[in-house]
Amino acid sequence: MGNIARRSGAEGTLLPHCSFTAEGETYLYAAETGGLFRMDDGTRDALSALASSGVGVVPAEILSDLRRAGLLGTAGGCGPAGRTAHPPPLRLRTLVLMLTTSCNLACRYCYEVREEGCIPPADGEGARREMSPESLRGGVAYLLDHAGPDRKVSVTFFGGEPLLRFPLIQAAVGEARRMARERGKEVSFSITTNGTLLTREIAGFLKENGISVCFSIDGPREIHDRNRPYASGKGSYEDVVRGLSVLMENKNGFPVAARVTLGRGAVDVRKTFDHLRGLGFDEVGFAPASAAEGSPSALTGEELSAVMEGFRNLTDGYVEDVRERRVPAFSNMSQILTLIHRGDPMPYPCGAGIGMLAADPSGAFYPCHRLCGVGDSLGNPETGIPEEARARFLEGARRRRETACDACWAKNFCSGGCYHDAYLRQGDLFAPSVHYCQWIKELFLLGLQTYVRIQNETPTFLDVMLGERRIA
Amino acid sequence: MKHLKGVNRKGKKIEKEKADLPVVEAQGSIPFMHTCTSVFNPGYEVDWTGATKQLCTPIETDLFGTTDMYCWWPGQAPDTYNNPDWNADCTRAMKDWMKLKVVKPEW
Repeated sequence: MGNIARRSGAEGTLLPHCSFTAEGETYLYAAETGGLFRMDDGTRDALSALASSGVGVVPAEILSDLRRAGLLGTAGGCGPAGRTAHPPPLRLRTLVLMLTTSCNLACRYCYEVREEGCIPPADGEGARREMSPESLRGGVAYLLDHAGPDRKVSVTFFGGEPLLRFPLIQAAVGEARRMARERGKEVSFSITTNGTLLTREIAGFLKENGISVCFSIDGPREIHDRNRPYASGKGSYEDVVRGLSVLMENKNGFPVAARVTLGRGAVDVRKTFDHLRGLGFDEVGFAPASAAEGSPSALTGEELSAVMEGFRNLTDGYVEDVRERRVPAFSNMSQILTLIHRGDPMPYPCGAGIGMLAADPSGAFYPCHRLCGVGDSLGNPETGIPEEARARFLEGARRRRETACDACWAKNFCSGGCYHDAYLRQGDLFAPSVHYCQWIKELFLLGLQTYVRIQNETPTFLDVMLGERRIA
Repeated sequence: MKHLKGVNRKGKKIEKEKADLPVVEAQGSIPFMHTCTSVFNPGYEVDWTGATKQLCTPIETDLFGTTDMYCWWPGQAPDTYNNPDWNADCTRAMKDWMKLKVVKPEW
């Protein structure tokens, strides 16, 4: 007799999951629901039986638990991620303003197309390189008017090097606050800078206006100078450290974060972390350089393994920090633990085109700052963003997740990976980042094991520190 | 849930939300197959007219025939006392089997 009272075949599949051991117990992470569970021996044996070929005999009670946890059924369609309305509505929280494409450095791995580092404005090639006050105003108004019921929004000053446009920033902060007040909203600000242009005046302004600062710095002098020189070839480390010391004298209570780009030959994570903590950074986050396959900036397989070993090492320190009630500084792990803690399925790899937009110097909107100039823009403050343009972009991402990534247990963590990275590597925004799959899974397994360690030792940390943390 | 204990926020929520639902207890164990068939086969017998009413044995016999571990599709059909018309729209089972009514248990 057919399976009439239930959906045909709906429970014939073991859905993507990760079972692992931590602290002497066995655990189960169910990708369809995002639930993390401790399992007993019977469940562990049942999973082995179900995963092996042929027929397994599983007690009904265990099957029932597995079904509730989201382990049995049909991938995609029945999971919470599969129920996501498409496209999700535009509810802006963050606007990244590319104030300029000019930069005073010539980083070896920079993804901006340039033949030399220091590009003067208006080089006559047609593309506008400097944002006008009008474009900035239009972008902020659009952000405030499309934030939905959210009261708080944020503006990120980005570039190029945004401090090349400090006068524009000064004017923008006051004006954006006024515009937000008129609409009953609050706006906060952040800036990503290479730090070389920081002066006492600028640091004082950042402090006074509560602007959080993210420094791009790659580590000790020899590493930093190799990858982040001026166009002349001179290293920038000395000026970055000088800028940092000025900022630290004017610290405004917000954590100062270091954002490290891991390029070829610069993968000593532990050494870099210790050095940057020594300089006074509150948080340190690492990201591999986005680079085309075969590019001299791309990390080799051995280097990726070295990075993973470094991350394991830093994770031990992270757990130790939590145990001793210190705020941990390894921000990659905080990000992963936050995702695990909430367990919300992640249908898209980031907020690009949903909660976040970037405006290029002309004011045109793109899904994120890295995608400025890649393909067609989504619109601009005057025309708005046609729903079909956004839907086209998000449909590509959704299709990727529901096909190439559907059977992967780590899909809630990476959702196929960074669009821009895929574009550089494979020429397609929506190609899954298969070159990182194994590495990403190792990283997230480390996150799951770390979550359990902290849950056992210091459970309050998870709610207090991670509960309200925003996911970038 | 007796065998899984929620650890993260979502796991605890699932454990709590479903705690009130009764677990359908089964005697012994039930079979589980890893995949579904790709063959078109609704999985039950029909009589020479293509319906079920004239079968020499009641269709419920299929239930017994499909609950052993060698069957590709564990069977479930509603009982005809409480759901006398569950197959009322299915006069020709081979053609109309998709019209069989879905009977949902009342929790």
